[in-house]
Amino acid sequence: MCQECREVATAYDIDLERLFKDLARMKAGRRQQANHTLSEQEKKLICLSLLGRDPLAIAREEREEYLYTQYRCDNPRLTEEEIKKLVENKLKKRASDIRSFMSTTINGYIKDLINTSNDIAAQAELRQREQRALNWLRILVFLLQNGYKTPQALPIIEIEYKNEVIVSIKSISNLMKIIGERYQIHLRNVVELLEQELEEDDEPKSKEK
Amino acid sequence: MSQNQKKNKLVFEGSHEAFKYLQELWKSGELEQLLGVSVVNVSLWEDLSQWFNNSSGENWQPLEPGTTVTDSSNISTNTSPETTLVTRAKIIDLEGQSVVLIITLKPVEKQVTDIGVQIEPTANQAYLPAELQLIAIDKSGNTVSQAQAGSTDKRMQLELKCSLGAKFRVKVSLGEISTTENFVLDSQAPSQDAFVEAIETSVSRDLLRLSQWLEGIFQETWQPVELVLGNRYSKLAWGVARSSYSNLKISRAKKIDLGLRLNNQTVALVITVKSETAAQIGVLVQVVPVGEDKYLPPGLKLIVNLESDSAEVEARSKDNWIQLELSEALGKPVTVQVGLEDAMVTQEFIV
Repeated sequence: MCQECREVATAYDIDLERLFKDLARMKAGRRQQANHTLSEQEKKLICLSLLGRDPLAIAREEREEYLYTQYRCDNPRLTEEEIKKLVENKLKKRASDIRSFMSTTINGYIKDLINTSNDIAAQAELRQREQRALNWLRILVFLLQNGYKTPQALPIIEIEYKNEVIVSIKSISNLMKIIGERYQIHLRNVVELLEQELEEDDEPKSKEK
Repeated sequence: MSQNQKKNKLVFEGSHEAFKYLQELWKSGELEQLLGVSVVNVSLWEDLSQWFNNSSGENWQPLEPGTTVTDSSNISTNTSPETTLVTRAKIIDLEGQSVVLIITLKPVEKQVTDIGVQIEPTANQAYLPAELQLIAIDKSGNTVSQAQAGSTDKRMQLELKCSLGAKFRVKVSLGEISTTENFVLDSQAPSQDAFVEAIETSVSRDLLRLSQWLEGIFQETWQPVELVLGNRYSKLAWGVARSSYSNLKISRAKKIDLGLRLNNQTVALVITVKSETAAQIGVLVQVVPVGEDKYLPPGLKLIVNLESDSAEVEARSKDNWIQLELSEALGKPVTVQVGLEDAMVTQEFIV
């Protein structure tokens, strides 16, 4: 199990083995093959997305340090600002590649998984989004509500918040990490998600710098 | 953007420690920073359906139905599997005054459970704190049922009927101090149609034990007769010269109010107890006027109901008092009623 898989399992208590198996079935269906498995890259991208990383954040984690060092060595006369700009352009290109890869692979498998489930609400939301990028918070809720998480015999804890802003999946995963390191806690649901979330940009805005 | 005013929620399954930690993060402002939203509440909900699997939250301890809670260490007996009754109790601290909150679950149908919400005093208290309030609130914040304790109440109980997925709160308050416990009946089955209904509200007053008077134990509301009646007391006394009993006799009196029916005239109920045998005591019940009035209102009735018998006497035009005498075994209930026309005051005793 990769590092990202372990993080997802810890944060959300999701049965990743089952999820990967089901998504592999969807992949096989799309490719009109009897059997298929998810690649390690696909698994990693699913986990990183569930942890709230968008393609740019994933690209940054993958390559920022390497690219910076590379450009610094290759272009000693460039200023710091010029190098950062080069790195940023390269990362955006990489993010675009990741987005394209996800569009042709895991996004489709997940759409198929939701459409073959009994979750009518999730299917309706998917239709509303049409060609826009998947919302991974919605996908996380779908997984939590559709048997990918074993309910625990623990009290229910609710955090109510004002609806002017929708909490991001990244914030949730950070919170789970902080509390989960100390105490027993599992995310069960994100409820009352409102229309405004569907009206947000296709791509979640990364706050990373 | 939608202007829906509903609050969004993050729902977790977590330990009590995780809840306390989240509360700390919220109070310090760190939670809002972490989530990037304005947090309005962090609450913990006990899933009552888990109690059927012998799982219960922090400080909720099993209690055999019918057991009287004496102190927190006594809440240790088991449940009643035959009747699928599950009872759990918890000490509620109201800044110095503690009471015991008892929840009893009784499934009545596949999707419906009767829930008893009860408050009792702790071991070192005879009665509930006066004006203590017990309130059941539904998830919309509406009061479903409530009760308030008087000065000699020893138990308050709300009976609720809940369907699966229903959420409700129980608020225990005393003046400005209050504490709220949140409950959900099967959090795995959230339903828009889930309901919480009140069935019954009851307040149990402490029944006066007359035999305790012979041990020198009195309730505040029952005062020495001379304090209530003054000089009139000597005429009423169950004196040795007029009695065949030489045993200890104790009398106490209490003013009773029948409102406008008595035209503002007050009467007193006087109870005298005397030991007869080890298992039986004699009781003399008298009603006398108080203050300037020499006579009882004509038609005033005194009724005494025993477990297997009853007696009644009615004041005539110039009666100074009316009385009934009885002998009863220890532990038997006695009900005394004083009334005029349709106004009636009832006092229940245990001999």
